[in-house]
Amino acid sequence: MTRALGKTAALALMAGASSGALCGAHAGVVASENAYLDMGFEELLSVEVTSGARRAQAVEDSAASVFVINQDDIRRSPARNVPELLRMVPGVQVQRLDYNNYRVSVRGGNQLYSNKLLVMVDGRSVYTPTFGGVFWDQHDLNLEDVSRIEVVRGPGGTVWGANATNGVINIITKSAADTTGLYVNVEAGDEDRPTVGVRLGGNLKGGGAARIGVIYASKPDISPNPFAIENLSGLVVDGPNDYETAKVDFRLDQPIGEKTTFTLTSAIQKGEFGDAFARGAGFVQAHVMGRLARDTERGGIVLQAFADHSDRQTFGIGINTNTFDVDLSHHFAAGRHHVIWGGGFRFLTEEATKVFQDTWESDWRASFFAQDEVAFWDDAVKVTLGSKFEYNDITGFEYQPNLRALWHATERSTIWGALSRNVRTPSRTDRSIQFALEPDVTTGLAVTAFGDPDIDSEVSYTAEIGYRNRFTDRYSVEASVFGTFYEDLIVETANPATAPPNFPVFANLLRNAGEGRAVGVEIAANANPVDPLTLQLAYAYIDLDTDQDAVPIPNIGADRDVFFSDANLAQHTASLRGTVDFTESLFASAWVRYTSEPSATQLGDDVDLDLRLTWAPGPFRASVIGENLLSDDDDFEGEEYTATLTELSPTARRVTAKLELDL
Amino acid sequence: MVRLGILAAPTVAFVLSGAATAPPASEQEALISAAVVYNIARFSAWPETGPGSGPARFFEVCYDADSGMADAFATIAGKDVGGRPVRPVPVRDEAVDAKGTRGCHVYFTDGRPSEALLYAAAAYGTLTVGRAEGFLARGGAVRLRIDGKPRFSVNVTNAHAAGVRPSSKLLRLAEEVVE
Repeated sequence: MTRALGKTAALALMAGASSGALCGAHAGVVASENAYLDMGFEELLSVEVTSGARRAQAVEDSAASVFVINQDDIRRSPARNVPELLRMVPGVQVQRLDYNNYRVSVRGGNQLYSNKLLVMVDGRSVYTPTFGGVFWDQHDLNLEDVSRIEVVRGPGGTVWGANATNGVINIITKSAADTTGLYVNVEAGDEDRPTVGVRLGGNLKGGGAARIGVIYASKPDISPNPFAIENLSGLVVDGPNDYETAKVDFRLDQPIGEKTTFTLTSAIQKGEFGDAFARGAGFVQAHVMGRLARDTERGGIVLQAFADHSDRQTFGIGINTNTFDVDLSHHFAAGRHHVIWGGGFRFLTEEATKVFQDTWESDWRASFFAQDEVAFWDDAVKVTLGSKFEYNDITGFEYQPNLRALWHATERSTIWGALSRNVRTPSRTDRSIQFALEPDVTTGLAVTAFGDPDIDSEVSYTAEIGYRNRFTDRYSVEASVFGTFYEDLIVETANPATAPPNFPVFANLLRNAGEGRAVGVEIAANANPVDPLTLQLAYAYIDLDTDQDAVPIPNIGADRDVFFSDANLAQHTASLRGTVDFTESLFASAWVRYTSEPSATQLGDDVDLDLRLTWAPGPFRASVIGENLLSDDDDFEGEEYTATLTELSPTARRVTAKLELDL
Repeated sequence: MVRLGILAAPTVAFVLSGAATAPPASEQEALISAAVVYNIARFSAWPETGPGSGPARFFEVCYDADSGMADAFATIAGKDVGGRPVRPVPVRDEAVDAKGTRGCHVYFTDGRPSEALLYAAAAYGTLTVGRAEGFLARGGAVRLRIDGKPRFSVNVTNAHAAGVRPSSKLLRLAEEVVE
């Protein structure tokens, strides 16, 4: 067999070998028939994914736009936290607003709380139901403990449930067995006071392992505060925005017999920061999660439960949330079928000090999903069909089906397509926000906002086509094209009926009055022309158009950060990463990024450069990291929050020294 | 909307219709494991003298006799590693305990060998490859695991103890490199 036969041949051969076994023929494999030996090493180690279909699956085999950030990417990257790492994924936009606030979005709607993106840590949802989105600062991780980050662009609702309209990000941490010993990380630079991470892990009796980690970070006040507010009279309300956080986390992995593993993770994190409203802003975040994973003869079963507590004081509001979640999934092979099904139940309580119609509320939801992948022609074609069904006590019954097909067109190339329907359930803000600002004496204008308790879910329909080619072990490319239609988008509308003549008091009502469409292209390419050099290119284009059939708010327009629009969205983003190994212990990486000007800003196009040089003799690693090296000090990444609020954020050039010790 | 709703229905039917027979995954895993072990050997620098005493004619890849890996390792027999043809050698548990893994260039194990055994193997110049959790911490050189895709981690210190130098390519492809 020749090397060129590659993966498809291997799969075909596997199928042949197994059917031989079933026919009662010699159950073994003839000596020369190991197609995996004909693959290059990289190909053999082809990347594996669980997020796409909730079970392990090679990227080559998933009918979705999947990007995996692995250990090597993390260790070489100048990025020092998860949101910064996500900049390397085509179709993902990241804006750093200040130390602890990031806008992270996939395929549009680049908002502070991107409500159409589901984010999980080890399969535990960290999507907040209050604003709809993720408090990225409440989930600090020691990057050395991250095994990989899987990013699925496009709908993931069939398996993962509501709010995965435009993407799923699953951050997977290492098993405790893989993090034994002492690890210390110290970062210091012209922005950070020392940031310290320590992790200690060890093996337990009975084959298990455990680790405990601590993170501490402290950042000085910068001016101006990106969340400074210019009120309607032109008075700027500013405050200090220093940031300090400490976190302790724990993980235990304990095998129970041959087939079962028990995993326990737990963490508590506290953060304090300033925002424009209050000096004492901050949060306490804690969780405990248990998971039992059992391998079965033809698949596996995972049972997991978690409790999560979040208490956040921000923008002058205190929000206390408790979530309880139980989840079961089971996958198995049956002939040419590979089935995955499961269900879950979530209960949460939420208490808000103000701005909501009710101080306290509790919600629940129950869900069931099933998906079947059917293989044809010796696995050359796979068709996947499935749906999630969910009942929640806010919008009632929801369904999220998808149909996906994949064709291994040649040994090295794959073509796939998908159709899906997804929903985004209303956040608490959408349903029950209620606030009124005092009428301004100079302008005579007052703003009030009311959520609608009867508001419905937003619905979207997405069609995607993708192509992958691993030309050789050293060159590969993948591209996808998508189109999404949005219905019932929740928008802020004026209610002129409540505005008395000559004294415009606008009652802003949240209603399902918007619709939109997005089309886009995403391309990722990898090259490894010679062993010490790798190049990784990512490019994305998106055109998002939203519209509403209701009266817009004067002076504020449709560009409010909390609503889905292209206001903060760059149409073109590109990233080129290069890494070079000078010697086995000295390596460097360079990262150039391009972002076109978001439509509602006057920021101009942005080109930036990060560099990292690492020297790693033995257990000690020293790196020098330069971020945003092409920026001026007054270069900002955020932009006008609304027409009346200013929001500025430093992406100022910063240089950091990072020292690591791994024993 | 209605159309998609109808499409969802067969999925439930598939789930309820139960399972037909399926090929076991382990055969494929065994073949992949053998291929990965072969690649690990290929992308490492081996001392001229073989493990144990004197130069070796064969490149011996040893594995637990009762691990069910015989057919898989048979597929790498005769392949070239550093100018020597690979010879797969099954090793019985008792023999491993008694004599270490003398003569083996590589010892592949599915089990949880003791620390003493792993250090003894390194002392004899054997590169140990295991699948158990915590294998590297107990003195193993390479940990292989298959979780949808094959992944391996390298303990460079333990590999060096056996006189084996993993190449930079091997380390680059490793999920984790422990010093």
